[in-house]
Amino acid sequence: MMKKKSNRRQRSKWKDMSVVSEIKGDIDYKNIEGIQPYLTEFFTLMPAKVTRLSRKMQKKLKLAVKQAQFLALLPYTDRHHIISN
Amino acid sequence: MLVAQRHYEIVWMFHPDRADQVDEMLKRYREVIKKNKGTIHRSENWGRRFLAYHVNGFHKAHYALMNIECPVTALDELKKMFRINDAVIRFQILKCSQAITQRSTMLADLKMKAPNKIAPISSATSTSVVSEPQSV
Repeated sequence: MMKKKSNRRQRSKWKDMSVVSEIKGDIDYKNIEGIQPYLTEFFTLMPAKVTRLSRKMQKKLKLAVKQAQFLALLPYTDRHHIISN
Repeated sequence: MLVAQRHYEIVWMFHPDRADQVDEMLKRYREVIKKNKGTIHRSENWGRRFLAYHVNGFHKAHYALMNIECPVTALDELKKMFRINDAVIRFQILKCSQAITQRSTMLADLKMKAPNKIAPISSATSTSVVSEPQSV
């Protein structure tokens, strides 16, 4: 006999997981220490699913990261030394 | 005639070997803003920093920040000056909604880590309020 499928919605595994509980200071391209916890080991921005930020805040964060990367305050990737050589 | 003024935030990356000329260059830019009846709300000198990646073959650059309020004509003039200047490696201009006079997080971090290594900015020529790092 087949097992009856549960009607209960599966709980997201990210539900109570957030990378950082609170951002230190404002979301700004000058606040590198505040932004850095939201980057992966490859210096790409984590998705909102992981960061648990609102759409508005995630947009702000995305912009701040891009501005910081342009000014070489943050790297675009972890392979910059390979590209330069 | 009243000319519409806007708030801007400018960040420069200067040639690392021309750090001694940075004050002079900033002074020249201030004069241009003053000439066009603009105001300077914040002026900071972040000093020399390591770059996250190589830019034009440089691995270090001298950073400076300025929050200004000026008409578009003044900004166009400034942009032209930045492009002509060899010492400017890169610059970023952002529009702001309001005047920012508080000390930036970048300068606050620098002060916490190395309080004696921050070079004070030379006295501002503009009449407006300019927040400068106080020498410790």
